[in-house]
Amino acid sequence: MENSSTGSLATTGLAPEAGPAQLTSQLRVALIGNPNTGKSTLFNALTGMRQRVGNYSGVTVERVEGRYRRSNGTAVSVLDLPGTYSLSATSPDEEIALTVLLGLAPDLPAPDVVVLVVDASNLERNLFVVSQILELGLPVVIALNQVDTAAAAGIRVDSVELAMQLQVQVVETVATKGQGIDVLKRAIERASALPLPERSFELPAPLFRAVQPVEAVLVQAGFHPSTAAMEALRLLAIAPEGHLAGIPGLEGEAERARTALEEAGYNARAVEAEVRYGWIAEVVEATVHRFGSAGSSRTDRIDAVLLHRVFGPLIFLLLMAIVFQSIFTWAEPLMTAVEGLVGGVGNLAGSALPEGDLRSLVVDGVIAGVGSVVIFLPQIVILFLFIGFLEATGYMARAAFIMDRFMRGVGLHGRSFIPMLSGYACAVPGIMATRTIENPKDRLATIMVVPLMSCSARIPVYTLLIGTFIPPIAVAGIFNLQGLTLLAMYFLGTAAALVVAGIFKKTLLKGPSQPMIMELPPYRLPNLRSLLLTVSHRAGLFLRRAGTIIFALTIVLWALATYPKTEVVADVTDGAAQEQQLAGSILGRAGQAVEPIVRPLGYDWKIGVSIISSFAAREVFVATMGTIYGVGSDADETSVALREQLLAETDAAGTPVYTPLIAVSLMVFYVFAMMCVSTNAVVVRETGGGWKGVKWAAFQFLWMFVLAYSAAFVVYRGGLLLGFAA
Amino acid sequence: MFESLTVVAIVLGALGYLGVRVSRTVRAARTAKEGGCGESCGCSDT
Repeated sequence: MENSSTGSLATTGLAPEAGPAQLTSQLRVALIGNPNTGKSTLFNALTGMRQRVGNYSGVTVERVEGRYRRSNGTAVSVLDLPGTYSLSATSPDEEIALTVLLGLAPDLPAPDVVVLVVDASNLERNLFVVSQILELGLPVVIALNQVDTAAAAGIRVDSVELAMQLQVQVVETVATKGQGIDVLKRAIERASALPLPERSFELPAPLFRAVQPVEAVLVQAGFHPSTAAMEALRLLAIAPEGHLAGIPGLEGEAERARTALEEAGYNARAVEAEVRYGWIAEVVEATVHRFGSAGSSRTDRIDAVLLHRVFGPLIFLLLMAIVFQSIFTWAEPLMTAVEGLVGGVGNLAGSALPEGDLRSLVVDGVIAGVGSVVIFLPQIVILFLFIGFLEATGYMARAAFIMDRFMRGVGLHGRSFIPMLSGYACAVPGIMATRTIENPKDRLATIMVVPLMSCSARIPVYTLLIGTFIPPIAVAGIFNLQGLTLLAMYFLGTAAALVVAGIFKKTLLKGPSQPMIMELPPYRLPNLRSLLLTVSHRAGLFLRRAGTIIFALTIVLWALATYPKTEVVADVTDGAAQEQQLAGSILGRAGQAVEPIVRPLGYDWKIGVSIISSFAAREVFVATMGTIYGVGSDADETSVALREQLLAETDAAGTPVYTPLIAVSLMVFYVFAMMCVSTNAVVVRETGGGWKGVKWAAFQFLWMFVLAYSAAFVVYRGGLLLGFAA
Repeated sequence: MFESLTVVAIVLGALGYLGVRVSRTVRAARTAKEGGCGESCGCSDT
C-alpha cells in the first residue's frame, strides 16, 4: 500500500473549499467505531496527554474525553465513545453511544462532528454501524484507519469512491504512526459546513409501508425525521427501552409493523440487518480491491504457532514467566534507587525538624509508610509496560482465546475472561466489565471470582515479601526463584478463580454456558506513545492512591501506634523503649488482641495488625509495616529500608520473626483474601444494590476470608511438617 | 503546645478525609449510580 496516499482527503461531490465552521467556539467531536479498529490509538494521536477519564452520569460505562487546540487557539473536545459493532442492541455501551450522538445524554450536548473510525481491512463488518450513524442527521467524517495493515493483507480501499458512496469525507489514517491525523483535523473543521449525510439505500415497499407509522410516532415525539427513520428500523428487532422508553403509542405501532412484515413474508427481527448488509455489499463491491496472493497472511502463520493446542498454552506460560522474572531483575536497581531517595527524604526531614511528635509523624509515619508503598512503582510500571505491549500487539486477544478453553471447562462464559483479565489491574473495573455478560448467573459467578485475580495492589505485598525472603536462585538455567514465585501467586489466584467459578456454576448458580465469538485482531507493532500513555496513566493512579488514601491512612496509623504514651522504663536501651511504647499504643494493644487469631498461621501481632488495616486496601499492609517499623525503630538511627528491618526482626528468644515459610503463607493469604473496601462497594452495587447486594458482598467476603485463612494455615503448618521452619 | 496542636490538626484532617472517602463509597454503592471506580478507588480505567 502506498503510504504516501495516507492522509489523502477524498471530498468528491462535496465542497472542499468550504470554510472552517465554528472557528470561534469550542468544537465537540465524538469518536465511534467497532472494537479493534485502532479507535483509542487514534484518540491518543488526536489528543495526546490531554485526557480525562470518568463515567457517564448514572451509569458505569467509561467516559473518556480529550482535547486538542486548533491553529487559532480554540479547543476541540474529543469524546471517545465505547466501541460498538452496531446501534441495534440495547447493551449499556450501545445505549450510551446512541444517546450521546442524539444529544440525549445528561450533561452532554450532541457532538458537532462524528468521526467514524473504520478498519480498512474489514470494511464490510465496519460499515454496519456506519450505515446507522449516517442516518442520525449529524456531520460525519470517516477515518479509514489501518490502511497499512489492510495493504499487508492484500486489501486496498478506494477512499475516493467510498466518499462518493457515503457522501461524507473519508480520510485515510494509520493512527499507530500518526499518519493522516492533520488531514483528519482539517476534515473535522470542514465537516459542519458540508451537507448532512442521509440514508443511501431504499427500503423495499412492504418494509417502507410498515415502518411509516412508527416513524410518525417518533417524529411526533420530537425526533429528527432522519433519526426517526433509523430508530424505526431498530425497533423492529428490539423493545422501546432506554431513551425510547415511555413514548406513547410506540410499542403498539412497532408491534403492528412487525406483524405486517411477518405477514408479508419478512423476518421482522432480521430485516434491518438484511437491508443494511444488502447496501454494504454494493459499497464493498465498488470500493474494496484485493491484490496479491490469497495465501495465508503473516497473522495466520503466527497464529498457527501461538494458538497451537499444545504450544499455545506453553508459549503463554513461558511469556508470563519472562514477564514476572523481569519485574524483579529490571525493577531491582530502580527500586533500590527509589528506596535510597525515600531514605534520603526521611533523613532530610528528620534533621530539619526538631525532635518530637511532629518529626515522628512526618518521618516515622508519613515518609516510612507512604515511602514503603511508593518504592514499588518500578514494578507497577514494568508489569503494565508488558501488559500494554502484549495488548497492543494483539497477543492479549490470543491469550483470551487460549484461556477460553479452560473457562468453558468450568462452565463459565467466554466473556468472563475480559473481566477477569481486567481484574489483574484492579477488581473494580473487572467487576464493572461483567455488565457485558447477559446471563445473570454467569455474571454473578464471574463477579464472585474476579477479586481472586491478583490485582496491582497486591504487587507491593508480593514483591516486598518475595524480594526480602525468597532467594534469587537460578532455576533451570534461565529462570530465577523470585520471578517463579510471583508467577505462582498469579497462577494460584487464576486457578482458584476457575475452580471456584466451576463450583458455583455447578451448585449455587447452576445453568448452561454459552459459546463466545471472539475477534482476533491482526498482529501489529505497538505504538510507543500510546503504550507510554497507558503506563503513565497506571503509574499516575498508583501514585495518586499513595498520595491520598494511603497518605491519610498512614497519619491515622501513626497516631494509633504512638498514643497513648507509655512511661519509659529506665535501664532499657532506646530500641527496647520504642518497642515498649509501640506495644502499649492503641495499635499495639489491638494487635495483641488479634494475635491469638493469627498465631496459628505463624504471624505475630505486627503482621496481624497490618492485615487488619489492609482490609481497607491491600497495599496498606506494606504502609502499616512501614509505619510500625518506623515508629518502633530507634529515633536516632538513620532511616533503614523496611526490607532490612524485616530480615533483622527477632522475637524475645532471638529467633527470626519472619521466615520464607511465613512469607509464602502470608502471600497465599493475600492471594485469596478479599481486602478492598472499593471492591466490596462495587460488588454491592453490581449485584443489585440494597440489602440484596450487601448479602452477596458479605457472602463473597466471608468465603474468601475462610479460603485465605485455611490456605495460609495449610501452607504454614504443612511447611512446618515438611521441615521448612527456617 | 503549637506542635501538639499541629499534630492533632493533621490527624483530624486525615480522619476527616478518610471519612469523606468512605461516605462517598457507601453512597455510590447505595444509590447504584454516580461514582464508579474513579470515585471509589481511583482506578478509573477498565
